[in-house]
Amino acid sequence: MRNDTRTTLDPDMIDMLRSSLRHVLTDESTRPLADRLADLGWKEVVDTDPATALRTLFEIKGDTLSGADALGPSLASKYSELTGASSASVSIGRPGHLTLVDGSGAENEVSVDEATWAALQAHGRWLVACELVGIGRHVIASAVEYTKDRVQYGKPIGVFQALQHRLASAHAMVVGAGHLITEAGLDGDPWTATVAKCMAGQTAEFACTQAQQCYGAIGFTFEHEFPAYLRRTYTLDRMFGDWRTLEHEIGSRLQATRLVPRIGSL
Amino acid sequence: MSALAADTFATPADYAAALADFLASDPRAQTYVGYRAPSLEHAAEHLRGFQALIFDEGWSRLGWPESAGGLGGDPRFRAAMFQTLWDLDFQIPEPFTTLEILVPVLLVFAPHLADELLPGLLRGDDTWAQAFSEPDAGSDLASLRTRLEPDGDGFRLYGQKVWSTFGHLSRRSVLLARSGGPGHKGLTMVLVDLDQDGADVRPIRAQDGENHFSEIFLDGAYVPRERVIGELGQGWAVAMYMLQWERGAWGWLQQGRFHKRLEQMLAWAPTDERHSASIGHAYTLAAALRLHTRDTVERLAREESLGPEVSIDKLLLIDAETATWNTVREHLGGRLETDPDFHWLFSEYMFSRAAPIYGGSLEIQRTLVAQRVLGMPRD
Repeated sequence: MRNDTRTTLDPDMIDMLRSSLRHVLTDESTRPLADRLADLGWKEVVDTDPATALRTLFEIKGDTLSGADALGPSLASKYSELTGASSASVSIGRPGHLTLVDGSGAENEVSVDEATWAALQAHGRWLVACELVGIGRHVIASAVEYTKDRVQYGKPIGVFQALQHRLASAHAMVVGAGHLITEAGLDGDPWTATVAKCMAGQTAEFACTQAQQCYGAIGFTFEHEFPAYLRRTYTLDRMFGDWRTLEHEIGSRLQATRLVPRIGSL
Repeated sequence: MSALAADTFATPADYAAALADFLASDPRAQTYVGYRAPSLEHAAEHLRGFQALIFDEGWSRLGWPESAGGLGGDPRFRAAMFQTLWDLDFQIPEPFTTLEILVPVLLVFAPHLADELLPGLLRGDDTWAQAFSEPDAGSDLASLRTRLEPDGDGFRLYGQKVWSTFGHLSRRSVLLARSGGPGHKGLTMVLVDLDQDGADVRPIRAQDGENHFSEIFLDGAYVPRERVIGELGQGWAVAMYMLQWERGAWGWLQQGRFHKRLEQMLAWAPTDERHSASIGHAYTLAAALRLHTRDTVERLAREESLGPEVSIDKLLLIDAETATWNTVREHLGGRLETDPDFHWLFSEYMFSRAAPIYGGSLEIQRTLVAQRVLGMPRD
């Protein structure tokens, strides 16, 4: 379930955007993603509602397992917004350090102030969280379909509550993570982005675990799409702090401040 | 005072800020800050004054229609009130949780009772329970056997109800009974007076040491015809309508409690980095619950009707409730069980173990989500 009621794009626009992005992210073109997005009028969409546009792009990237490089250019846009400096792609190094890549592919490591680095890390956490939520949704939907088709003991295995309960509990977590990535996009607060990444990482891993059990042996092979989703989940979870590290980071900060922020107001 | 009206405040946040000012400055309100209930019965008695105070001053009337004794405005005002009360460490009078579930049902299915009865309920002059489960009808509610039999202009009830929350502290109860044949279609919802011959209410002591629930023995308790909620035979539909409030609005109320208890726990024990991961885990789940149930409250405010997806609210609630209280127990250590000052908190902890059981068990909610939301096949 999406929570799009707080966006400025109307639901029809968002549906169109989703299907266009799905097309762009799964076509076989070797052109850079930025050029293919430009064909869609991406800049106009981003200017209208950057939070929804970027969230949707990364959700669908997770859903389709697209290998297009969206993160580097998105961090470059954020870096440009913060500092005015332009680059084609940015990657985040150790605290205070970034690597900028120009149009020709040349890399240049730069030092930045703490606030800029933290803002970029938070942006990265948010985008990767969106991608993880996309994976979580995909593996659940795909497992649901599989359990309708796979017949054992004379009935589709989806009728067994043991499997129903696995996917239902994963779905609830994906819905919860979905709200957090939406809110993180709207409030732009690094704290919310961190909580969203933490929730999204554990949610995607949990959803994969539940889905894998529904697939049985076939899901353990590269005959099936599943292992690729699982591997992508592990890769994304490691980026900008895996979920266990982030749980610790969040709890540690709560203990240090003795304050418990209420994310989202009525 | 009661000069408040729905349009006094542009947003629920403005209302919350004004309520916070009132609670911090009114000497009568201040006597209720930080109240730690020694028992449910004590809380019911003590907080009646607080419930009347915030009604008389208008604060608890925002978010309810005038026909219910309210001052208009949508349910977000109620949600903002709960948030403010938790944040400022005011114990929420227990009848409010019942109100959230029963009043919307009465407004839709028994508007003729709303004018007469709801203002007293909102102010705390009257208290109601709900009676659905029976000894042989728990999750399988449609199998219930309590009979509603015609008698003159009204009806009489025969049977036994159980797990009626605050039954022994309530004057009336909303009750689901069988007026016709077997299954969903033979059920009718009524409002029955408990202070009459033919209704015998006996509290049950729960594992937290409190009398949370009661058994209600019905041997000819009278129900006037106008106390039928909805139509005869419509009881299942009424119960299903009720569920969206029970599973939806309740989740928002509870997330306020979880955030507050985490905050208090941090103040009451020294930093211990070994606990950070479990604290972070609980907070993350409480934040997810908060955002999801905010969405639910907003949908209720727009008068959308919620379907089986309200079971997701309950699943997120169970995860957040379990994780929050697990971390409270870890962080406070043995003081939670042994320190007399934490008696009230340990009682809340023990009650939290009921989260996967009450209001439709965890297993029932997962089955509903799988079959009705995800569309998995039914046997």
